[in-house]
Amino acid sequence: MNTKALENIGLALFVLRDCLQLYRNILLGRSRLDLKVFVDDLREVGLSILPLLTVVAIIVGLVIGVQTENVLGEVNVPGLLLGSIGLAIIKHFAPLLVGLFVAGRSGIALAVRIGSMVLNREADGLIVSGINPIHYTVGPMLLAMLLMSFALAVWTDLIVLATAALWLWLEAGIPWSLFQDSLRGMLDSGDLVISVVKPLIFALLIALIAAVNGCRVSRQVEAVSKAASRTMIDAIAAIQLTNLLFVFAFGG
Amino acid sequence: MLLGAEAVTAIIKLENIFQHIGGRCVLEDISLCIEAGESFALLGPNGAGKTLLLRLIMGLDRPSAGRIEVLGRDLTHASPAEMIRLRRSVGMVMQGGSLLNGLSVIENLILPLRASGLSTDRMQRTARLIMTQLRLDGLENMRPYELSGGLSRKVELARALICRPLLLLWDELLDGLDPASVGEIKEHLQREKKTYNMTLIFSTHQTGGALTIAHRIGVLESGRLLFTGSQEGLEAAERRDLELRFALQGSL
Repeated sequence: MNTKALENIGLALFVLRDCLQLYRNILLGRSRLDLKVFVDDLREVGLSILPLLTVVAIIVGLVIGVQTENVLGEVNVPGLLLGSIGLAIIKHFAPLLVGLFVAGRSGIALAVRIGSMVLNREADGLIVSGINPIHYTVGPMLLAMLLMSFALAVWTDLIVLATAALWLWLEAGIPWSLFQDSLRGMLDSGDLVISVVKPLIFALLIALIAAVNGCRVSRQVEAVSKAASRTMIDAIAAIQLTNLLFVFAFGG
Repeated sequence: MLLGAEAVTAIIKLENIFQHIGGRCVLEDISLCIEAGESFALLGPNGAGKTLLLRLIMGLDRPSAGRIEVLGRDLTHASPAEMIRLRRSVGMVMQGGSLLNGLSVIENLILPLRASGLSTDRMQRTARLIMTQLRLDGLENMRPYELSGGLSRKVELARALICRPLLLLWDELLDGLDPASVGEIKEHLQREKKTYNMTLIFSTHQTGGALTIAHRIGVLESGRLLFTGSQEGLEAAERRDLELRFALQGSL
């Protein structure tokens, strides 16, 4: 591992420590969460991507429905097939899809925001005002990303499953109850925990990657766009790698 | 005001400060002591190291070698939390501006008060009061990028003074201000100094007007402190010292 990578990991840990410090201070009543900034961040992370995410989730649900219908014509094990598909959606598709959307929208926005603040010396302005720039920028955004990633993952699960189930009911006459029973038979509490934890870890990684890339912006305008594109690439790689680690460690 | 002025006499102590950037020595063996309530001018041509020295005093950068003590705290060993507490007793007006463009003027002014625990209403009243004192009324809801250069400087000054700092650092004092504003600001600074025993350290590259409010002057040239003393002492030294004369000619 080269020096720069180690520096980036150190910076990410520093950012994480500062964020945890902020949350602890908020819980102890020593700091206040800037509600205006937090609500704006919630809107940016969640509501701004909700329509497109819903459309993509419907498309994924339709594709899965059509594919399942085709396979069911060849192998007649509907219970096993529907359960496996449901499991794949809940444990893999939905967290990955949400992770990619959050990286593309909020990750890039955070990197650009921090980078611009460094470039325009606004970060210095915060420091001389006695405000930790990490508390001001990453703190509320990370919290919004964690909350909204969880909510969006649940939403995506519901939309993909509902669309696939609706297609299979309309086209293949498979009742929703069979889908439900198959899922119930295959899903255990560990799978549900993974489906909840994964989007949170993805959100954390995206925020830290964005913060590191934003903080590393030099005093050149093109550095901000480079930070944005690097954030997207790094975040996708980190999400895929983490997903792979989950598969090896927990089988999903 | 977080630290008692009476407890501190030497507001700033710099001991053998060196700063290297890109292999070049930009500050060389700077030692300086500034007393409480003093007005100290850093005079020197462009690139002499004035801004860098002020940034070191503010703790925005760390020196390559040497010791910096501000308000009785050793900056070289201060924790990030201590630095943030310390900065609440120090105000700084930066060259080129450091206001947050995403916030209105009044929101920028409130920034340093956020950690004070005051209610929003009280913070707004304090901000409006200082706006009136500096004749900035009517600009509350404007964004920094909508202001002229001179008005931005005045807003920055208001932000730096809002917590009634023990120490005010001003990079390029009175730069970009019209004569009427210069008069107002000089008067305001004198009042603040008298009321709160505020120490003022400012940089300037002009040997004219700004120096009239300085008790002592330090002449910087190519990162070296060539002279410290009164204005009269400077005139006498200039006649004797050829290097100092060249430095002052560069500052005209």
